[in-house]
Amino acid sequence: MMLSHTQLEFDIAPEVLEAAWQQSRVYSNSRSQWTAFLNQICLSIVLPWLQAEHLPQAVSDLQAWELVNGTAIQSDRQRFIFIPDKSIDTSQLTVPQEWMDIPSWAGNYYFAVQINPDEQQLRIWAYTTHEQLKNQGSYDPSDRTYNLEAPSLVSDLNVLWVVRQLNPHEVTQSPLSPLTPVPAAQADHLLQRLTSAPLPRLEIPFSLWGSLLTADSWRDRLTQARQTGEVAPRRLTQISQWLQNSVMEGWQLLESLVNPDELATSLRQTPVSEVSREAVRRVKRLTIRQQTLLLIVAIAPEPDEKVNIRIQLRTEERTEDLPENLLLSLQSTAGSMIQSMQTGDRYSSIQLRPFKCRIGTQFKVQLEEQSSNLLEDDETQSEVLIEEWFQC
Amino acid sequence: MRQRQDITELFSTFLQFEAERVSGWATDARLRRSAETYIKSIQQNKTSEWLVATYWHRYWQQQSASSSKSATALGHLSAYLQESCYWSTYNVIRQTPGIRHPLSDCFQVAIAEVPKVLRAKDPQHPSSLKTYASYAFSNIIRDFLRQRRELDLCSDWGLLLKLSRKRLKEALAAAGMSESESAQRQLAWQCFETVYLPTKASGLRRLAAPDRQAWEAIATLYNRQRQQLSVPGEDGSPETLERWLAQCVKYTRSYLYPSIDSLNRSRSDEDNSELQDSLVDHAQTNLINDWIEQEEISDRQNQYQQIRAILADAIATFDPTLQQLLILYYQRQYTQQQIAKELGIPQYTVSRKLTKAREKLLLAITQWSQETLHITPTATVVKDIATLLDEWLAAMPEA
Repeated sequence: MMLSHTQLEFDIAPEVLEAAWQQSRVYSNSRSQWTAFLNQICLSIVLPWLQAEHLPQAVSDLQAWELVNGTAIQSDRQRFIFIPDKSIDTSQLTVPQEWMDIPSWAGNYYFAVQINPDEQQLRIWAYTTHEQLKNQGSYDPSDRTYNLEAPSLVSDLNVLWVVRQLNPHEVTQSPLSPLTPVPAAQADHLLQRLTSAPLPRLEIPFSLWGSLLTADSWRDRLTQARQTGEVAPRRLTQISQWLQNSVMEGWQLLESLVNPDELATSLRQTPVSEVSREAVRRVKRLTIRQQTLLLIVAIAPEPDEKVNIRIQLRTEERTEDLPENLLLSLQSTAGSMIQSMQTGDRYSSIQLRPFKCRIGTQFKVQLEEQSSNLLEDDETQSEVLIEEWFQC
Repeated sequence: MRQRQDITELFSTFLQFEAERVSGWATDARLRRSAETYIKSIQQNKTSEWLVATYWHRYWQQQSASSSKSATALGHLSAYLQESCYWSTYNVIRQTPGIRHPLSDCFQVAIAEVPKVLRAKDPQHPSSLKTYASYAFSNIIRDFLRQRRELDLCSDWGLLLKLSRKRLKEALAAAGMSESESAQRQLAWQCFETVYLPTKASGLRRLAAPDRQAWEAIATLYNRQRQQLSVPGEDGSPETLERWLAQCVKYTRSYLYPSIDSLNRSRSDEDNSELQDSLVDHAQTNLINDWIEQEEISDRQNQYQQIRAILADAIATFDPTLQQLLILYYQRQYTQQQIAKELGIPQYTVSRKLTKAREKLLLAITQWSQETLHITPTATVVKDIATLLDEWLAAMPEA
């Protein structure tokens, strides 16, 4: 690490450079390969530095290098967005709109990072906040970016650590409006269309694009489709096959995760006697806001080609509580709500009403977090955390 | 360099260079008349350079950018910041090994950025405009030198990959290209980058010219994407795209290597608008002076003494090596390499220790200003204190 006056400079070790280069080769075109390469270097250097010097809790949070430049690091409910750039121009910071206007992506702090691979050097030359970028920056519709000129940025990173310490309630984020969800059929259609688009982020209106990116599953499918050239079908969990004991990727036997003493209470409203011997319970671990949660699906065969299904969400550690304002819902594949349950203060689990479903029917289970907008009390924002698709 | 004496001179004269050396001060007659008019209009006891600078700064911020009043205020402030700019340039050049650019060039580049500095600086905050500008000028010159060095090392095609969209746009505008043509070139550049980034990790600078196949791919992509432009134009052949991008390189090089000697000439020389325009509007003058009066000068000097004491106290708690390091860096102006050599420790340790020490000192002063002056430490305030910190440290007596 080098201090160029007050800016931070790091040397990039040859092995970091090489590893980042190798990892970037799977991306779909030379632009996204370079985005991945620069962001990987940035993450490899910045994260250990942050953890060692300033934010021991920092973890890498969100990256979509196939689609958007930038890397998010999360620490204690605050988000730090790093925007690496290979250009020699340090006259302004350019931040893709995704990092500003998608509520679940938006950060508190934004860092301008210049990388010179030829010199094997990385330089963090300034930072600013979401609030400043929004209010003092200019929006460029031609490449959907927010821009703020260098003199309005803070080039001395010490300022950041001092302000965080002495003024922890500094407003760093401007209010954001929620994005309208895109219906599943339209999302699938757009996935096809964007698979081969050279610049997918500029191909469709931002309101659509931003909303689609919010859903992890859709984003993963687009990324994969662009990298393999094939649109993967929606990951559909065939739950009736569990009755034949087949195993699905990501789903484990409940018994393998939960200690047997707890099993009796794990599906709380279900007396043990009612769970028939044939019932199968599978569990998927989810990491939500740095906490491990379990999504438990219990199924039991019913007459007339039907299955009885119970769905529960709980914490892995019984002593912990679920985050507040999580909404667990059962939806049709078209996205219409069938039923839902919301967490409140000190809930350790929530469960949907048991339902019956004909073999072959598809449905969706969605987990979203609702946060009330502090400035406009009656408006709530919601962010889809998990979407799981099932077929009976 | 001769020190400028009276306040009128401070706000109306410009440094002159001859054969890379300062040859003297040149007076801009129009700015001189304007400064005299203003100074006559205010009471004798309020003619400190700080008050006059703050006046013009606020005045500038209230004008629309293209007005002649704005040009006059900018002229006064550019004149005022001549020394700050000169010394920032001098220091950066002294600290940077192997520079081939004359001081006068670097000076001109920095002084041209005065409007941006004025925009970013809040006149209400404690640091003086001079201090703030010195800090900004140093950053501007460092960036300029870094960029020049990189440009010298780049092949034409490598240069295209080191550009930002903003710079390209500016270069095309400077070459007199229309907006629609410029948008087409920008798209061509974007397509070039999408298709033709190097396939080696360290291959940006010496990127070779694209071959026929690559130009075809660039043209295909361009023709697909051009429909999104507001003026989509014709399909581009591979030859057209090659010609366009070669043109972008040419325009960029001449944009980033401007003929520098004309930059510091005061704009108002060529401005034929009536002198009347730049005469001070008295109602407004009084209004601005009322604001300035609220900030007591004696208080500021008193605070400066206190800040020194706080810094000295904080430094006294540092271990002896760190204290020595601060003295070498701030008071004796050693470079980090020189300190590393002197103290026999690696340069990154020097750098890290300096960063940490600076953070602690910044924290101490900000804390003090929060508790004593009840200033909320927002990022803008702390940024402002941080720009002052280096000046305070440099002015500390060696313990």
